[in-house]
Amino acid sequence: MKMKKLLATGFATAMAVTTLAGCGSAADNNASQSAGTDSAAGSTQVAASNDDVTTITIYAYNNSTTEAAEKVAAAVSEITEPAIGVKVNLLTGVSSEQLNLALASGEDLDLFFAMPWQVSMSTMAATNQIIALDDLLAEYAPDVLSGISEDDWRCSTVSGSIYGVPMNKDKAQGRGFEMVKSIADELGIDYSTPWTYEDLDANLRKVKEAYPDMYPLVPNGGTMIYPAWACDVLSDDLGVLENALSDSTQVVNFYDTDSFKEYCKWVYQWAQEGLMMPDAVNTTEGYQEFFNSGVGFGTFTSFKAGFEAEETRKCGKDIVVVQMENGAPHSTTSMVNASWCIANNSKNPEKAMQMLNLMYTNPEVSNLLVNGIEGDNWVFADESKGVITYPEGVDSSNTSYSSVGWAWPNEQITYVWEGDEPDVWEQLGEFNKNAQSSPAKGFVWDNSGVLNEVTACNNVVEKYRAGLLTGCLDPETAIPQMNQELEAAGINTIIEAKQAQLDAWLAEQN
Amino acid sequence: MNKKSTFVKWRRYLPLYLMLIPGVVYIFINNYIPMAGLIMAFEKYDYKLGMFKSPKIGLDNFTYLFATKDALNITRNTLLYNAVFIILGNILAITVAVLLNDVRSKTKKKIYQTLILIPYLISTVIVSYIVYGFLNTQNGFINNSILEPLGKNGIAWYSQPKYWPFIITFVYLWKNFGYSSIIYFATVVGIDKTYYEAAVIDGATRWQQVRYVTLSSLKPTIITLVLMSIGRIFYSDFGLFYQVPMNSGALIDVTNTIDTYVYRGLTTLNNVGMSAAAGFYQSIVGFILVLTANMIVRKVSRENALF
Repeated sequence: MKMKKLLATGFATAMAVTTLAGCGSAADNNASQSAGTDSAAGSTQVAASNDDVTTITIYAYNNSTTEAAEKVAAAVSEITEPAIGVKVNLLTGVSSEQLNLALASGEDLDLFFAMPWQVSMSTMAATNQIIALDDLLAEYAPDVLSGISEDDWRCSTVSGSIYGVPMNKDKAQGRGFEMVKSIADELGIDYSTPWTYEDLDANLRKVKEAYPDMYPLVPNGGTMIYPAWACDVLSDDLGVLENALSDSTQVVNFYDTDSFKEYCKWVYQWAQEGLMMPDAVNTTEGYQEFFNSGVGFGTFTSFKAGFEAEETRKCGKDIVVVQMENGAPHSTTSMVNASWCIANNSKNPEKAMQMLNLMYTNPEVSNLLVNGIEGDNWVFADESKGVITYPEGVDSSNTSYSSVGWAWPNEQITYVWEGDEPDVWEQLGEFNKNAQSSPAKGFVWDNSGVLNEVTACNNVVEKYRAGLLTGCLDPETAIPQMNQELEAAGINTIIEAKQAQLDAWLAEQN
Repeated sequence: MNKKSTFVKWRRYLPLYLMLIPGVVYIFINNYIPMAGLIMAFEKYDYKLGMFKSPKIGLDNFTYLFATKDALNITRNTLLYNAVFIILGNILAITVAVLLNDVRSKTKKKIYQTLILIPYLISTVIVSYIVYGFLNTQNGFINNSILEPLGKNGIAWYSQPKYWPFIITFVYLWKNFGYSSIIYFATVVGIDKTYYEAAVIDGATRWQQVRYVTLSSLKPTIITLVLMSIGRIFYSDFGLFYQVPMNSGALIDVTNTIDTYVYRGLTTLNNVGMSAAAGFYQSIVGFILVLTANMIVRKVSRENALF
């Protein structure tokens, strides 16, 4: 009897201890965080001694081999260690699933990319997965703070605080169709003026006729880049402005718009006739591989200034792009607020911000991260002009460190690739400026009030979207079914809430 | 006096209790401590505040589960698939075990045993690509080498939910029957040969021998194995339901089980609270099912019940 009691006490103690341990570690965390504030303050300029080197873990979007990532991290650390006392740990090729798991499980993670089509900034901010940057920016990155326009900051602001540093990339996009240039030229396809779906249809048929073994339209990683018209998706695509180029600010169900239905109808028809790769939803390759291997001719895409050269490099074949009729360059919040964020996991947000500052302002650091190691991943084609190219025997398909400039904080201070116009960054600036802004640009949707509905709706979207976009599902039956399920999942509640927020935001602007 | 005898008893059993400790510690760390995480199902999780301090929101996280058909759907899938797996899996395994027993040549017996066990040892990810090799629309074996020569159109397997209950069941059986057959076979081998001799003398046919000798001897093993699988009926083989259908959106209705639902909730929707709610729901329903199953077994054959 006594033993039993003893045993029970033992268990109770063990339980209490573990519970307390949980609290304890959290408290410790806070303590170390505040200690970090003290010690790091004012150390921006002072070269840190080797004793207090902080390791900053960066999650990156581009692909590379582990060795190449380590090599780049070591090279970056060589610069950052004396400058700000930061040693870099770089993880490349991070998928949105990996990112979400890392954020949820509290893995070592300081800086990461937040692409609006992968993660929702407002959700991350609402659950404190990322931290507010206002004070950190003012203290450690004043140049970044002043270098980015008020308008752009507004796009990465959630409930009054800045949560991300917008990537200095294209801040506007057109919607179009990209294709292999040699085939288009050979068949006399005219890509000088915008296409309608009918034009596209005729051209796809031409290609199929000349190359029966080729798929004129190919998917990208089991889905299709969408939409193919200027639509403002208002952060997620549950409730959108159907046409970002018009003045209308009416929030509607994306999957119930005529534009979406028309798009799906065409793609389905093309899939039925063998113009679109069949069963595309179960392919995993990107369109680059399809182009490169000669399986595919074209795909829907978004485009920006300098896009063709970038794609040519990526696909290993000359690429041209044509604008779709309703896809004139336009700018929305989602195009601007692809940002770099500091995770709540970060043990030393001050150092993380200093690192982010260097990534944004230091050409050497930025170039290493964007383009990799000189000699391994690139060589100078013309050093005086700062133009680089692939070394002998290396190209986009076998480089150990893929260069995806726009996914880094600031690609505009890195070297220009051969084939790009030397003034590509100016062109991009022009392009950004000339694009028409969506009436809702700057509006950041806060979904925290309707999370249940958003989750339920996302489940429905997951089920149908890729299938519809790639023509695997018959829109005649699938779209009504999808909308019925979306309504049951509460899409109308979301649209109402979004409309109310948007109206309030618009009223504030005037 | 009384006290002393308890003490003596304790001394006698002490080694046994000591032997129990590693297991208890393991179960405690692995199965009981994480239960504290169930609290997240009732919270609007805040990463800054952590598990115990996040704001409590009652049952809000559960509403989305039941707002749509999702809860019903994943429950149905999990239960029905597992029920089918248990029934067909055991029938197949027993049949194979009985057949194996009748193979005379020792070498052949060894070869068969190894062959049926191999699929069990293959990782599900590899299995999923083997399946893909068969079902791929353009290059897959079934479309290319079977349907096409027959003059039929290829089928877009990964977009057609109606085939998948059969495909999943087939893959499961192919992968797992070997293992349970071996367990049954071990029991069959252990059956005393004299029973069969006696049966033959009594004029029993081959079928009667199987039915009255082999199957009756197998009964305890069958009950144990079935009970064990019923205890896990609310868990699903994650790889089978996530990897094998290649996570295809069009198939979600027939391939979504509670485990894949929780995983998707966390990785694609990034919502800890709702994932925790789905996991909590799984635990509750699973608990009820195990109790019910055990109750039924206790009614039918008391000595075989778990508790």
